[in-house]
Amino acid sequence: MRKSSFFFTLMSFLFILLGLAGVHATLAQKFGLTRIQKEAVIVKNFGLTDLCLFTEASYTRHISQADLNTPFQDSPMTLEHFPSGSLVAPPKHVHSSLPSGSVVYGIGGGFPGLLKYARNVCFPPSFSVSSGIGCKTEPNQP
Amino acid sequence: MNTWIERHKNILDFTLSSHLRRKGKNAALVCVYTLIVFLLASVLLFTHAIREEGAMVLENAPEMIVQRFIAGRHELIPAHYADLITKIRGVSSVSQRLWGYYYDPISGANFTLMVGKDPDIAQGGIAVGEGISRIRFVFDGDVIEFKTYQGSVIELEVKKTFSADSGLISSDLIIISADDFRRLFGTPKDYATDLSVRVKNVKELSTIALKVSEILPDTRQILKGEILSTYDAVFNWRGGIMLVILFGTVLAFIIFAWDKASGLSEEEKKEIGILKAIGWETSDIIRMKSWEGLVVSLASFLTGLVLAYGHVFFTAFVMFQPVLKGWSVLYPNFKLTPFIDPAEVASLFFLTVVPYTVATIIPSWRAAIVDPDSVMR
Repeated sequence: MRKSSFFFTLMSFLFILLGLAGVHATLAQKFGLTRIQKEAVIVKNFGLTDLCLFTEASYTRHISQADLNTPFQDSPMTLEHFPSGSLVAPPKHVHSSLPSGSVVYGIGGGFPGLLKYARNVCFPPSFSVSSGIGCKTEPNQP
Repeated sequence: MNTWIERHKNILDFTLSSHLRRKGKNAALVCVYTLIVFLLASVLLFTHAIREEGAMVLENAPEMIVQRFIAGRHELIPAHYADLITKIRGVSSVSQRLWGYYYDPISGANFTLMVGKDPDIAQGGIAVGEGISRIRFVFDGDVIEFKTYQGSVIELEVKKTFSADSGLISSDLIIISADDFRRLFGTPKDYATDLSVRVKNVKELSTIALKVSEILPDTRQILKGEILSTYDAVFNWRGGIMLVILFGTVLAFIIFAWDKASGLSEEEKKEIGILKAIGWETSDIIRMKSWEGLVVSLASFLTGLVLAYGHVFFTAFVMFQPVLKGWSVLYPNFKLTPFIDPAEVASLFFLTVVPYTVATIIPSWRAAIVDPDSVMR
């Protein structure tokens, strides 16, 4: 077998796997949407506000409802120590005033920003889901 | 057409033989490249899927939550605040929400207790989430004991268990009657945890929030848009220390790949010189180098992407689960629905495959336009 033929066979195999992943995604979405609709009904019936993702602390369980002084609400001098704290972005007014925060945001935002920019250039969005809505962790400005 | 294909196949044969002569170096490059694409694609697929699912599930969340704050802390809100808010033009309904946390010493987990309008849940009965059922081994008809704020014990019967399908929102949830909730936590009758406001026209939501803050200055208003944007931001991958660590890896890879792709070794320069001397055109050399870059980057991209899909949607993000679970005793068993944004995947392709392929072409073009004799010397 020629080396090029082997390479094309391998590429074809990988493309087939990718295609199967696409088929799986399409089929799984049909079942997933039924489940999501059920969840949405529960959210409506009981007036839920948050996903059950981080149950390690009260302020990570309901991140959209937490106090503005979290994590210090638990006691003064309580430093953030829960692993999920590293996933949740700090409020913008915090990172913009600190050099370290700017570094984290700069690095963290660099690649996704580039990705988003490339996406918008190549595939312009038809609508924006969260346009004009700021992050909740900032104080409300009514 | 056949000649064109055959020509490219010959060049590809030569390229692959050239790769195999330096198999150690190239294998290392493919492995690192695949790993980088795998990590980036895993995070990309996971964050997109969870954001989509979160937005769809929380679409029915309350339009506005009004919380009372005293000394910067969330406090119980007087029930008569609801009457004041109802009088604002545009408000269709205001309902009291009673909810809180209960630390269960047996399992060591925190449960979320919520009063809900469920005809099955009368006084003495509760509905529990799948996580609680799993961690406490309780099912329909069983009884769970709760310690009240006064130290006495009350027994509540499990009337209903939420299915595992809804684990993402109800895993640690206990739906309880208002009377039992007040008995358990001692919440006064004329107080609620917060208020849920529905409006007639969602476009007026911010105006109504402004009016609420004027009438009730000791409250803050959380709009549905803010709830949704919180979840949009949570996995938006921005503030993650994980990303900063990953950034180091990506940077190391970029330096490694750039060095490998753009810096031609003496051996490679000599090879180009010999090829030119035996009659290869400059365009043939550029074709060969393009294939060289494409073989490495395309194989790595496809392998990394397929592995990432399996990792996120078949193994439930197993490699990153320790970070997600954190110190949670009770963690929901949920499988994400594979919502994939083809545009994001395509962008990842253009940001990983194209730069590497281009980086291989430029130095080889430089070497290819030099006189073969001087290159070989």
